[in-house]
Amino acid sequence: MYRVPKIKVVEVLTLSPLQSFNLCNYLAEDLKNNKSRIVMSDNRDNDTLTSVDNSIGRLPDHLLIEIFIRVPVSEWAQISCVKKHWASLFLGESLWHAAIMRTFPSASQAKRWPGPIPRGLSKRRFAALYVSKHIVALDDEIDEIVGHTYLFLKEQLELSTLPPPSGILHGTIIDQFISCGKSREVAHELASQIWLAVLDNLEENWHTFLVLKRLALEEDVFLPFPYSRSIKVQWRVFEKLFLDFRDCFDHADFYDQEVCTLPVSASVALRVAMESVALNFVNATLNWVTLALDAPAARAVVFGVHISGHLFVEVLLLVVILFLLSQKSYKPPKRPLTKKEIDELCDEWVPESLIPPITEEMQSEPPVLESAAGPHAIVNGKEVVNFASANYLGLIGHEKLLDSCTSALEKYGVGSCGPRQFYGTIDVHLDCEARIANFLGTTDSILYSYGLSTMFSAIPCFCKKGDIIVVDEGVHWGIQNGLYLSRSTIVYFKHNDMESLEKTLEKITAKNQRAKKLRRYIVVEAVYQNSGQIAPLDKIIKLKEKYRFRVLLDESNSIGVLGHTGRGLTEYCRVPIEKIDIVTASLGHALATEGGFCTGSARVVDHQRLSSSGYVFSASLPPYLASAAITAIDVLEQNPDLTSKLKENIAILWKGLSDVQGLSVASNPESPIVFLQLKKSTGSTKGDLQLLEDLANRALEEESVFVVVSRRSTLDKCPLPVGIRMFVSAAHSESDLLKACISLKKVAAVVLKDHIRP
Amino acid sequence: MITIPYLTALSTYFSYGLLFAFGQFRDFFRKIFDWWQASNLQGYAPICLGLEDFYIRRLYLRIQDCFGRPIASAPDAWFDVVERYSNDNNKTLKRTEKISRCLNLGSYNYLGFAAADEYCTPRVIDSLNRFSASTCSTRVDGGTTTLHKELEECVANFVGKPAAVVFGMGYVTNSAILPVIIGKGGLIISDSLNHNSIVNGARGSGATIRVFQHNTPPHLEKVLREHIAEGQPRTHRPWKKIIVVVEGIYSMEGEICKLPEIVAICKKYKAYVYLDEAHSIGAVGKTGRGVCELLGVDTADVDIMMGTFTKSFGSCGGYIAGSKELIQYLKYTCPAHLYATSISPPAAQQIISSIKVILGEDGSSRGAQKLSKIRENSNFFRSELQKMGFEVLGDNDSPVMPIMLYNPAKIPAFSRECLKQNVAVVTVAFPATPLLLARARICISASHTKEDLLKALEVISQVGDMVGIKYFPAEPMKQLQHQHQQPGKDTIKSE
Repeated sequence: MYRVPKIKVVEVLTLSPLQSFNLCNYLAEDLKNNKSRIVMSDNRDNDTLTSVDNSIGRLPDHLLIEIFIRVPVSEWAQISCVKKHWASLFLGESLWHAAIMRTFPSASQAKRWPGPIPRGLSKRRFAALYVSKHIVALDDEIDEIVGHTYLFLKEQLELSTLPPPSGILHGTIIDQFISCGKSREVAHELASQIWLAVLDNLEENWHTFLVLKRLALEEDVFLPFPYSRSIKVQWRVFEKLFLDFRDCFDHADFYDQEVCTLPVSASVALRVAMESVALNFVNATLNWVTLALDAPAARAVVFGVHISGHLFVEVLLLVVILFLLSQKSYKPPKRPLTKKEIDELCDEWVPESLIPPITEEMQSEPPVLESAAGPHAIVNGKEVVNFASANYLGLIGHEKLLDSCTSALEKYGVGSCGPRQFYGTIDVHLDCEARIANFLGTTDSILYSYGLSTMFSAIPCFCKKGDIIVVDEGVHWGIQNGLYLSRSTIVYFKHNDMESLEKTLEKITAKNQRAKKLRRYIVVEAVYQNSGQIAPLDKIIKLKEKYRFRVLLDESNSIGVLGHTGRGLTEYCRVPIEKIDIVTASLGHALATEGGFCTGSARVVDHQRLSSSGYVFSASLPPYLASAAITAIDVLEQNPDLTSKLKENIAILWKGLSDVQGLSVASNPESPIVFLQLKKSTGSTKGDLQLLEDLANRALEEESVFVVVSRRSTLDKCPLPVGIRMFVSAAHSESDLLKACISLKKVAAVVLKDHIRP
Repeated sequence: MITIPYLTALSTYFSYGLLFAFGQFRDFFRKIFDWWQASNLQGYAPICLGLEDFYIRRLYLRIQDCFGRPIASAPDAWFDVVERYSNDNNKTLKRTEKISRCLNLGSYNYLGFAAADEYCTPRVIDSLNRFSASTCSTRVDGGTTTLHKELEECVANFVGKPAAVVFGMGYVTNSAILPVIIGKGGLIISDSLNHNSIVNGARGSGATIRVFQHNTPPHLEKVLREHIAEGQPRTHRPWKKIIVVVEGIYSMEGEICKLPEIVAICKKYKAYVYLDEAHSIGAVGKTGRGVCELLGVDTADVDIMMGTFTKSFGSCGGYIAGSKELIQYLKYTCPAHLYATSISPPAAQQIISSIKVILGEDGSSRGAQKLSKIRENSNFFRSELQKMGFEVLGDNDSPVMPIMLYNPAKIPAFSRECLKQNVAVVTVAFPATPLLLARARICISASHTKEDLLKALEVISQVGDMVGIKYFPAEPMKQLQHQHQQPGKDTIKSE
């Protein structure tokens, strides 16, 4: 048995502060140790009671208080039971005041206490501080208000039989915080914590159940907007109801609660989406929704249909979707121009002039011939040597041609007065077509009424949008226009460069998987009108067969010229004509007539007879020209020396022109077009053209040699350099050719003098 | 606007449907047979597209003999049609030596210059001997002879414009000129029934193309207003220039352009007028100067006048007439001038001579006679056809008169039956016309005599009854009215 030393009151009263502190500690320790005894010995053990009484029973109040506050709070209730005097101490102000001073030394002692919730006496303050520290767990700073509001809320919910609506309670709390200098945001956060703490600490009894039920039924009014955290609290209410008080529900009650929960869950989904505050909260909510909805008692039956919880959600979502769909989308109102506005616009509009202003270069007039354009022609009353006409075989003025034309003119008149389909087909047309096919060794051919229209009608006939055409960049305008009108995909390769062609073909075939299904063509000229180059057909054929392309060949300047018998490039390169799918040519060069033809397989020709616009929609070739073409081919076949004579002439001219100052021969040695190019360009096409034209004019005027410059239309996309073009004819005599060479050298030396030097 | 009787439209659709179905049926079997044979394409895509090919194989070939009939003489009032036969159901036609002399109602030989002419032909042969058949050169190189110069002056003078440039082909004239005068950022407003050469030229130009309802000036105005207000598509920049393209006489409709209204609208909206007088130059107007003369439009109001020499002048080629600057610019840059062989000298001579005849510069009144003859002939023939109950399109004074056939079966029937009775007519079907609106086209010439016309009328009436194309009832009452209204016809009768 432990004995407490007896201390006289007088002694205690005279003790120094340090001594009294130690004493108090000692006594408190003693009291703590004897606590159980104190409690238990209430009635039975007078001895113990007396002993305690003996030791600290007669101590003055302030010392007692000092002792009590050193004892843990949980034991105070028991201590207060020991003596009546002690109990009154616990009811008094001073003990609690001292307790606050000791336990919460940082607690404010300010006299002013704003806000609707009373601060109360020290006992209440102590309780509040205690709550702040332990329940709400505000560790760093002990805030009295939090504790007070907690107590207030708890009292309101627990004590009153009919607590005021949550909105009012909540408002009071918020007001309290705000009047104590908290920001709105902090106030909301704290209020939410308090609500949750209070809800957690409510006693589990019938009264609490009723209170919670009431709160749950408040729905929208519950902690009203703009308080954003009400959901969390509301869910705690539901949580408690459905978990802790599940047994208190009857069926109707449960159902009511569930209905209340639903709108909340919907609004939860919406608000969460908007605020992106807490994903985890959503998860918790969803867990809750599932839990709440799948509760077995939530099943209801309407008209025999089981209404499970998710059906409500689905119906609700459906309603929302329908609502959103029924809303009109925003369209800016259309305001068409009024009549007056259009009038004004029409008045304001100023068109460009139909043509650009005429400059000096546009005014040049070509020389006018006073005779036929044979090898010798009369210009300005003077006889000149003519290198401007593509009269390769010298058939201009040929007697047989004139005779056949004359008889045709007498028989058929001049024009045919109609397209081929509508009585514009005259027997000579058919004869001519057969003659050409027969001459070239094809099955059939088709006559066009103009050389230029041949290519630009034939190409769109076989190439449509999406087809691929690989074409030499130096082709003449008729082909360019045909390509444009066909709307096909056009890929250019470098002029007469077979490596470039192969690369292009390779690229197209490799890159485009669909290329196999498209029509693919290579378009080349036999003798390029723009450069005098000859296309290497044998190589082209190899490439064509390798990559499966079709070949369109324009033989305008090679029919009657190349090959032993003048059958063109195919004969020259020893390629069977069947390998070329489509051959076009103008009759206006070697054959000395007009028009053009296209030849190939019967299918190629027949297809054009209905699809080629230049054939279908144009009047046919004047019959006398067709008959001239027949005769020209006859003459050519009967005189094979014409081509060899032409070849000789080309060689003479080529040799004679090889050393002209400032000019170089850029054409193929066998091409009937001898193309002279400036060795050094002036830098611009316009400048080159000016220089060359000067040269040509002087050659005509001073030397009576008629040569021409390759002029370009503004529509022509050909990138090749310009130059002087000389069309050699079999009818030129050797002296003509030599004269031309000497004259050109003379003129070039004068004209290009300034150009060569610097 | 052509209004098709409901029943006719239905039966026409039915006929085409039947042809199409049978064609597909035959194609199906062809595919099966082709399947046995190995494909000979060897990695090439077929050169002709399926549906185009289908039209030719299954529809066109059946009536191929009605088109492209060869002739063995000049296309004068009467000509020799070469008979053809086929051993393989019309797939290929072979010429025979046999000819039949037929009345020519198909050629555009409006003034009768197609045949050898007492004034023109000797001069043509002279120039052939002097200048040969071709220059083998372009106009800017060695292709300009004194004849070409003379021709251009002559045409400019005839048309009533300060200058002109000529080309060797009418089709090329249209399709090469439009890209020169208008390009990207420009707008071409074209009549919906313009000739293919204009369509191709417009496409080649890169300009935006819009159409207005055939020969409907109010719609043209609407289109113009709309597009000026709207500007270029997407960028809405103002147009650089607007060209309205119309034809003098529409060759498939026989209608005369409502030029005065169109010119007035174009003036109001500052659009340029491009007039294609392919069929009207030489054929209409008091002195043969085309629709401008006929309708009293000042040629100064038409910015670009285009025409061809194929029709009235019996030659070939086309011209553009306009201001001196325009022609100078065209000569500087037009590809057809720079790259194409110049017009054949004899053909040029034919034009010069025929213009001289028309203007009476040959010292005779033959030109005036021809002009009044074609007018009388046309109006007489048109009114007679209408009286018989044919559905004839076109305006008075126009030498072109289409007769509506509609049903596809009536196309070969009409053509073959007429030919049997030695009257050669032209029938036109899809794709030259809309599918439903197949027609026969008659072109009247000044060289037709009254007897010729009466015979033609008799045959056409008879065949028309047989084929069933008199869609309107014949009205004897109408006949009386017409006699009073049309003095032209009275003179024919009094001859």
